[in-house]
Amino acid sequence: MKNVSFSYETHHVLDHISLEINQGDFLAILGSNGTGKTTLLKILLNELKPTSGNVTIFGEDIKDLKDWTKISYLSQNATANVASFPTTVKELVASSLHAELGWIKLLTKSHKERIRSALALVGMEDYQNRLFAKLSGGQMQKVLLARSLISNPKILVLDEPTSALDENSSQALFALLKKISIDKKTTIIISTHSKACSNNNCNHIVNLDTERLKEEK
Amino acid sequence: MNIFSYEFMQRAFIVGIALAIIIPLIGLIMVLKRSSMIGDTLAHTSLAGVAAGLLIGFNPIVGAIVACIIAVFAIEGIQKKLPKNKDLGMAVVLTVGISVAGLLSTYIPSGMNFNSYLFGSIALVSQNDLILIVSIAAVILIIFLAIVKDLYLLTLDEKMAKLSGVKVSLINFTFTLLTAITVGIASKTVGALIVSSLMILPAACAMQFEKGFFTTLFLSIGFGVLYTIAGLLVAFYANQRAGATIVLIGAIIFIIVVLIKWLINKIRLRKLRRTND
Repeated sequence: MKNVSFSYETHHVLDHISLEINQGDFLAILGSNGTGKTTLLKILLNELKPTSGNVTIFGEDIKDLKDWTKISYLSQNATANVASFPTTVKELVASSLHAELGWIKLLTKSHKERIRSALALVGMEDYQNRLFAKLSGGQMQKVLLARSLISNPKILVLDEPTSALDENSSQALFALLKKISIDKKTTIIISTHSKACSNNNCNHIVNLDTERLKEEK
Repeated sequence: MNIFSYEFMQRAFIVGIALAIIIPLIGLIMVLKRSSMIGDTLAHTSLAGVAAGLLIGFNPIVGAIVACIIAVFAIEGIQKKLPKNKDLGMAVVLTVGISVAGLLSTYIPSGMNFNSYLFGSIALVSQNDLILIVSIAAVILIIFLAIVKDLYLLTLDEKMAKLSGVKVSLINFTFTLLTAITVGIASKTVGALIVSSLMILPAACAMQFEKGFFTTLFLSIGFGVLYTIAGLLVAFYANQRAGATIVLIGAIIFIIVVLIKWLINKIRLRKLRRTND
């Protein structure tokens, strides 16, 4: 990301942000409300076009990137969006395999094994047939994380996944993400308010509160 | 005399069950997408097509389908121009549709029974209507099954669906088109003012069981078929309008399901308290 700026009409949000993220990095984007954390993620996901500057992913300009299946995204409202939806944990995690399945989209034995492994990775293996809406906030985040990981993404983008979690659950989620970034070499980009969790687990932190982008580590 | 010895009742059951399978499928997705209003809008607009069909002399069901498809394009057009007020598109189209229907209906000869399209006339389904409705329903079912997993993903999380390779605009457009055609073919039999209820009630009942998406989908169809069979039987023996009877039975079953669920939860809670004591 080079010299990226962004404005919502007259409101200036991001100003000449430059950022280099390497494979396996665990990057935290910190900042108060309204500093542009979600905007920055939306630019990375090509949902918003920067006013100036350019973004490159896998060596390719983001505008030309065709294979978005290498990137997984967990939105800020993901839990709230899914909480009222009638779906089991297994159905939810399986939905991430959509791009790989054939026209009839039936799950094979190996797909089922991958669902089990992804849930085991986040400690939710025994909850496959449970209704998602009946889980606690922390359990929901873990299931959504398993769903994001099952397609083996190269980059995992998470927008404030700990906003509805208590301190212990937040710490546990960050520790789990750190383990995944090390074990699977997945690049993880997370926007968060939690400085303590970021300091303890991330190898790269940017703070949007400062006027210019300042790399803390 | 046996109810099935009447040809018109045989046709009513075939058409009713065909519709009871596809209407709840569309309805559940609409409920989950929180866009139930579009069913009402299309249902009211279909009356303009029915009136045009009766007036000009073509099949009113085809008229209803065409009116619904035009309505879908009009809603999308208005929503694109006014993205911050998406509901306005539906409200404007509903108003225009019902006004056009009202205007055209004054020129329809009295013998053509435009009013039967308001509350449905499932017992007056002709052999041609049966072939048309069942064929279209079969096509809708096949297309729906082909895109159901895309719809699940898209309804769950549109951004995630896009990243997973779902062609979001195409699937959204296909679903809206399926909705329009479903409302169109149901307008004569179930009734334009009632069809949106038959979309919502089976989904509402099925969701009370708190099961996964695909089980809920099958339960919705089950409830749709149950309402239709019970509704047709009651309508036949009590000499009532079939569409209205089907929906009222649906509403009664919904209340019973909610009450049973409430009772079961209460008993469970009491047992849990006793165990804790």
